[in-house]
Amino acid sequence: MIGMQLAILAIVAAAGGAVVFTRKPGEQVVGASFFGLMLALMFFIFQAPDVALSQLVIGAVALPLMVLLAIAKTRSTQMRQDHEREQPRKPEREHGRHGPDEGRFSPPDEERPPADVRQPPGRPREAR
Amino acid sequence: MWFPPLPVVIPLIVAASLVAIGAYLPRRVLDLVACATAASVFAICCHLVAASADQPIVYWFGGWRPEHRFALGICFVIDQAGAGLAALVSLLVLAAFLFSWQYFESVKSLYHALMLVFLAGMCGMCLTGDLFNLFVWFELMSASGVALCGYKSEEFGPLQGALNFAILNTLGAYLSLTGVAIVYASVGALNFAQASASLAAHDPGGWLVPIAFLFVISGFLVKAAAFPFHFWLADAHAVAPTPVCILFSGVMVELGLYAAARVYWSVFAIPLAAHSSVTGALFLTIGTLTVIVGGIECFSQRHLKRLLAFSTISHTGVMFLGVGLLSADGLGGTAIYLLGHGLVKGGLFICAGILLHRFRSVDEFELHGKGRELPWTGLLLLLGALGLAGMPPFATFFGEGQLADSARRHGLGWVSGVMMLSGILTSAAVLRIGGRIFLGWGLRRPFDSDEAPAIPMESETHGGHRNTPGTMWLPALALIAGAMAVALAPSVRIAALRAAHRMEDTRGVTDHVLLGTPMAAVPEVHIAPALGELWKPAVNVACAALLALAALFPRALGRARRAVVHAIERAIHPLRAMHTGRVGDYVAWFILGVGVYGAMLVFGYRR
Amino acid sequence: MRHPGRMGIFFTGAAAVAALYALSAIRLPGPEDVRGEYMRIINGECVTFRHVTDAVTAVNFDFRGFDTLGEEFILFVSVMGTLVLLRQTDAKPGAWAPDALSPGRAVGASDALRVWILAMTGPTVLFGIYTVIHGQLTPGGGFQGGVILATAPLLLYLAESFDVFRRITSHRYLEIVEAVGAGAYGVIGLLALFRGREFMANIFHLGKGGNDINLFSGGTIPVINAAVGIEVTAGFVLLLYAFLQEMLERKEAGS
Repeated sequence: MIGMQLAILAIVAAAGGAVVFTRKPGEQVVGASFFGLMLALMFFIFQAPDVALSQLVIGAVALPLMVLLAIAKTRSTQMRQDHEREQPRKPEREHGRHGPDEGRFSPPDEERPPADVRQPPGRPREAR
Repeated sequence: MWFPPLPVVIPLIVAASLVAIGAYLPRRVLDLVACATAASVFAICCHLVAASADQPIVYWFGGWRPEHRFALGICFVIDQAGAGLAALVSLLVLAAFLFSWQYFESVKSLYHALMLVFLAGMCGMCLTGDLFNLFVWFELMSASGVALCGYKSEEFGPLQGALNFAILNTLGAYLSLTGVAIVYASVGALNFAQASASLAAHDPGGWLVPIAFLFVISGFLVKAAAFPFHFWLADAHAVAPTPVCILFSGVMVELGLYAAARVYWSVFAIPLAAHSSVTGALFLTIGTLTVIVGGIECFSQRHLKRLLAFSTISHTGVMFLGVGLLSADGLGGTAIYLLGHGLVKGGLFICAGILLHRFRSVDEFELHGKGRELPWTGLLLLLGALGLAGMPPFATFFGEGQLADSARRHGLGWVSGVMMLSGILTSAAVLRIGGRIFLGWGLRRPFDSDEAPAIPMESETHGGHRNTPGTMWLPALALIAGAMAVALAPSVRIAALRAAHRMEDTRGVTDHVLLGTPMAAVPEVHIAPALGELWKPAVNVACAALLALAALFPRALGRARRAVVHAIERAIHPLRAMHTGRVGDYVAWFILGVGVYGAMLVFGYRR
Repeated sequence: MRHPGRMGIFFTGAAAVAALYALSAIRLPGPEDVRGEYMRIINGECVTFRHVTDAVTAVNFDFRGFDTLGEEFILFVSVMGTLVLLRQTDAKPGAWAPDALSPGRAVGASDALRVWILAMTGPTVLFGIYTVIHGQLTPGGGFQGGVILATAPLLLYLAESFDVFRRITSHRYLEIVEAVGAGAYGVIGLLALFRGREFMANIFHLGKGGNDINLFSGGTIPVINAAVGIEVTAGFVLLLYAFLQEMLERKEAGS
């Protein structure tokens, strides 16, 4: 019994490591699915058959499926964007990588810029 | 005994029914039902505050009372601290619902349902007396919080903000769960009282207890935005809808702190009693770092919501300092401060929401001078800034006074200096941004012409934007007025101190929960003399005003301005550089933070 | 932050956290002297007083039923949150016409595979229902059975197409069913208050005598179990539905 427990623990650790160190998302999903299966086996060996049941469905089927769908979706979006970039018709708003952080530091206590750089007051907002 | 479970159960059932039938109900009915639910939870919590004045209420779910000091089931241990915090939570939820009355776009009934589940999770956290139950409500709060944060998912920013929120908080929750598992594995108990008694009776030895403590609270530290776990907070606040921000800043962050304090006082205080100075030092370190980083970052923001988010971080640092005093009067001061801060911050976020409603922007430079149309909102913002600075009659003033008094008696006078720093920096930031928006003072644009563009903000509301509806500004007025009025009466302050005494009396609570022995009467509490502290808010406000003016009119600095500006920029740059917006970096800081704080504990507890 | 810097910070911290974990784990009791009072008491109580043989289910739905209420709502709110995050705001109503979305076979399933999958669907449903309703007797219960049940429409998707998935599941009704399942848990707990008992008290008819253990002998336990099973099934199908829809329909709309 203890040998089986040690073996499954080692397998789970190896599978988990393999998932983390796989770089390609597609391969990672397969790894994650295997990892989920091994986790289910681990729960079974450690006498938690009910947890193993749910882990079997969630870890080995549902989660990989959702990740697969997400990957496929990202790919199709990317392909569409590439397609549009080749024949630029309407400009699309760029989403940069900076995300919600607004970027560089700008202390508000800066000196007044030269007059010619200054923008006219009440810069109109672009219509949405 | 009807009432104890209701603050959790009512919102959950109403949320489920709203999802089931909400699609067939008109918007006004949804709003009404949601407001009525929040209001009734508020009323119940107020009742619980009154009912727990004498003895904490212990409520065993399913009637599984402990036998031979062994708890089979889950209990709520409702004392005035927990019930009072739950009342504040439901009040702010009510304000958020009022603010979003009819104006905030809702996808079917999901917005209302998510907010109600959020409310239930937060109330459960306040009232519970069980480690795993605390974790469950914490997770429920996080799950609904993430969904609310990314609510405007048609844009890119909200999704990323919500993702950062989700990943960081999930990691923290894993560590918390690990800590809970360690406690359970070593003593076989999840109930606060039973775990505390068992840990004290059979010390597992080694560093198990301090490490379990650190793991359990690290999830709460992430939620409380303690340095260096705070990065997700500003990203989440910048993108979350305004009514959600009110709750994030007003109570959710504070609930992380509350949970850490609650777990310490209910479970770990006795097993760790021999080394309480190390635990205190840990909290004081976290608090000091958080105050300074939050304050500096707050002052260097131009996006009003981000600014307020960093101000929340700074003020949470103050509350960590209060908890770190590890004394009843420190805890009481923290409670008063938390009350005042939650109300003020809720009001300030509503002001930001009004600006967003009118001008579709909360950017300091973009709104330059536009706020002249909204003098009353400007006045509320000014009052809020004074509240952040700890001006009487705001509750923050009394809380800070109490904290300073307690710190002085512990020989930690420097703590009150750090607290003042938080007040100065955050209120200076709000004064500066208010001066620019509402008075049109200062520069129209930042010095760097290649400044990254402001975050594009979509309007959250539809309908006429010419005027501000009463359901928007009335809650702000009520919250800020409430922050001024709530602690004026000494009885409220005395109640807070008594509640803190109760919360801190670990042995008494343990016996009360497990054996039903009534707790000993609270000793006479002394509220700190307030008049002698009046110079502090005066100094705070004066410094803040000077700082704000210097930021608005840098010319007045004369020749020194360039050197000053560059020195500041150089000093702040590393801090700003840490905010990359990439979740991988945040995770790295989180892990490092846990490791460093853990090393502090381990070396401190060396026997 | 640059990659090496981040990795350096992360691995320093991770090493420290691993050391902390090891320091605490070596002090945990071994398998022989684990403090198992809770286990012993529950094992005694659940058969004599709750007429239930699966102690895990008894703990989940009775002794610590309040936790499970929270967990059920975590699932509920996660599904709702996913629906909010994945909602289609830019899709025009016209783009939803049934003929516009015939993604055909989701996978190039061979006939042999289809026959097998279709043949397995019925037993899967049966096994799911069995797992749900036997929750109080054998390992399993609402959560486990629910996720098994939820794979049945998934099998149909694999064998046939998303159209079939959509035909047998309705977004609108799933939402209602899920909410009813979640709300029922709270309502059953609340009923005890009207009987003058504590919230979540087991007020329904329990079996009589020591050996009266059957599918319905657990009082509220089988009822709550069934409610959870309904909620989990509906929630999971809804989740799969949202993901599949997001993927397949956007692709259609985009091409």
